[in-house]
Amino acid sequence: MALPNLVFSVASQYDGKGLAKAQKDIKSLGKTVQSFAGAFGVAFSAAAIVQFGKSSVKAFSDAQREGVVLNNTLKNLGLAFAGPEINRYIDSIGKLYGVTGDQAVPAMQALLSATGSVTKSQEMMNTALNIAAANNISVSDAAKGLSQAYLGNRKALSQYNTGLTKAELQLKSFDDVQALLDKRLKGAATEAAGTYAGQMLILKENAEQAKEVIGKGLVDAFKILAGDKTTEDLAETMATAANNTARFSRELAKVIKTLTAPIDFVSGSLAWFIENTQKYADLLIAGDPSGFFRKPVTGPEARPLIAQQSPGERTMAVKAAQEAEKRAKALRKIEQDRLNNLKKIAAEQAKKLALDKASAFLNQANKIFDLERIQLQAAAMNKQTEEDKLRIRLKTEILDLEMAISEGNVQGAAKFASLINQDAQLLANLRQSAFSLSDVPNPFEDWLSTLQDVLNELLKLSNYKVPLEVQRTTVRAMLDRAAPDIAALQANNARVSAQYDNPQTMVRSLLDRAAPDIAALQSILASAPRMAEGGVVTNATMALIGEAGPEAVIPLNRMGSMGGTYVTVNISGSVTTERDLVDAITQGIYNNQASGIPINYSTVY
Amino acid sequence: MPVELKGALETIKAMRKFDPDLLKEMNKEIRGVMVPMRDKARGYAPSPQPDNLYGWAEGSVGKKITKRNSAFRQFNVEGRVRLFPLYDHKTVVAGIKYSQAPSRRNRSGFRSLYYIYNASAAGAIYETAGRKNPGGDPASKSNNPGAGAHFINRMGPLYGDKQKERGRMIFRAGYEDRGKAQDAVIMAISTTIEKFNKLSKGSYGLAA
Repeated sequence: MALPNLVFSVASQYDGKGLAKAQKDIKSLGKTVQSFAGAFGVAFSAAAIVQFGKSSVKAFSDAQREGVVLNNTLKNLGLAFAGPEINRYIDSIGKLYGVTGDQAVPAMQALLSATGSVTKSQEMMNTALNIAAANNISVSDAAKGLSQAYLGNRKALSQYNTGLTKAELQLKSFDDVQALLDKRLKGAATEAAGTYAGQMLILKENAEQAKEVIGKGLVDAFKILAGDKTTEDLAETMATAANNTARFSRELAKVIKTLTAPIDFVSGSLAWFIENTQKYADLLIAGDPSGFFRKPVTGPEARPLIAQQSPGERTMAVKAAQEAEKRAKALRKIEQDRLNNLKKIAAEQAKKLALDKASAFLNQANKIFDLERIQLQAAAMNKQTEEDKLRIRLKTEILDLEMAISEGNVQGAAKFASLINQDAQLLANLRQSAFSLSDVPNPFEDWLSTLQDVLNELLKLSNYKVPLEVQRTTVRAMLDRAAPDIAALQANNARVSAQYDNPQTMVRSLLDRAAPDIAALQSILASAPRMAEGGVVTNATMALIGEAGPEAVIPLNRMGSMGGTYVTVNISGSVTTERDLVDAITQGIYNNQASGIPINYSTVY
Repeated sequence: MPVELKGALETIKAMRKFDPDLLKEMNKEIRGVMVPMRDKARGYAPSPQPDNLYGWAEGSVGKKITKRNSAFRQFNVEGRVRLFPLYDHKTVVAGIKYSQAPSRRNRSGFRSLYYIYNASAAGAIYETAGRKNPGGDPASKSNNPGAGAHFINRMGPLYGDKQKERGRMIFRAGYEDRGKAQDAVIMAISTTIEKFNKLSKGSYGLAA
């Protein structure tokens, strides 16, 4: 048959019967569903009770297993006496913050194993609760991180937004870090517990605890009913009991609803009820074979903490507490030693850094004390004696500084670095004038700045103060060095002022200064050649011309245009060839030119 | 869009009972309008397959028979889901049929009185592919999500105004007819019913 949308219809009719039928069908379906829901509800309620009973038993068994593991840990740590207290603490944080037992127990185990102290573990657990709430992580993870931090591994703490660097985390004591964390995250767990999600967790945990209690009661009850059977048998018995309970409830409801029903129906229900609850009645009437109902609660939870312990147990508990305290003390001492060692290492590293810098400075100094370069500079400057002395002294001080560095004597190193700095400045000043005359690069520019840095580092590190005498010597040396210049400046000033005071003296002085030049000029003029007779000049010559009358000075290469002599050589006789003749004449002219006689010529042949 | 005729079914039933010749005459008249449209729709069935969709064509000569193109194919081995039908021109043409037997009620409660329909699966696919998603299924999780769009594009355009009245064969013929057949059918039915009412006036009361 065709699908609805595949029919090309040209005429159709609405058929209302379909709708009426559909409505009828829906009503019928509703009735069926209603009756089914009723039946299903009955079955489901029974199944729900069974399921709840099973989950309660499971919750109880889980809690019991966690408790056994925790107690075992406490026993191994010598803290068995604190078991009930810790259990109460775990229950309380579950009720207050919604921390489930499967998180709280491993967390507490980790903390107890690390600290060995119940009090410290509880403190750290409170911190872990805040960390977990603030960072949205599980309490067990937070507690694990804290226990690792307590033992020296601070890696996990860096993830908890402490605001401290890794180095600071390493250097601070755990108590300081914990105090910081408590300060920063104070109230986080309470705030989180106040949220809707937190309230749900608290409800869930309280329900779990209730389930544990119910589960324990159920297990006890079914143990009584079923004897020493397996867990599966217990569960089966529980299911049967739940079914019976559900049926009882249902029938009871029917009884209430149908109070006006015939008495035989009521009697039938009662008969069924009696039949199905016979064993409970027998249990109540005949007495509890195991004495469960008659005996008062005898579990450990029924007694106060102190009352639970015999004198021997109390002695053991006190002893265990003392041992735990001793161990905690030992752990604290180890932690303190570790911190001290870390501080020492940091101080040594700082020293090493300063000494490394000084060593780098020495390497730089070695380059400066290049003998070849020193000799060259000394030859150029003619100040060998004074500078050599300084260099030798510097070299000695450098050797002393090396010794101090190798011995690790920071104060000594600072002292020698200070002396080196002082002498190096003197040396640099000595070299200053030489550098303007020499092309040799000034090696002290960079060295002095490095030296100053190293000196500052060493002085800071060793608290060494430059002696007043040394400072005075330095200033005095500087003044001594500047004294000649100051004297020269003063003399110059006096002379200039005197000259400007008397113009005649100034002119005379100028003439006196110019006298040697004038005498030299006169000497040159006296020895200058005289050209009154003529002559040939082929290079720069100072000469006296026109001394005996007018003369013409004509460049030799313009002699022709100025009416030079034309020589015509007529050859008679026979020569070998005309070219030989030209060559002979040319050679003769060259010879004359070589002797200083300029001759222009041309040849025609 | 089909025209709704109130009381037509009852009238037809009455005609069948009291004046079958009149009903036959009407049906013949309507058939004379609808069959040419059916034939026209059959003419729009591509042969041997739409465009070059060779892979969709069924049982060409020399083609290896597999479980997909076997004449005995019905279901796959898992879950009894029908295989995608292969295109066979002959089957598609034969599947385009005209009927004047009132159909079953559709979801809206209407029954078709005179209609052309597509009985073959491949024909229905060719008729309607791309009505809803011309570019293929946008939520396709196939390894080849563009295959749907390719398949639809190869089939050519859909003819018609509204989404559910567009197609490539029957609906194309109806669209190109521009309602003439429908008018003729309505006219035939109206005339016949009027005639029947005249004949039966006083005896059975008015119909339609």
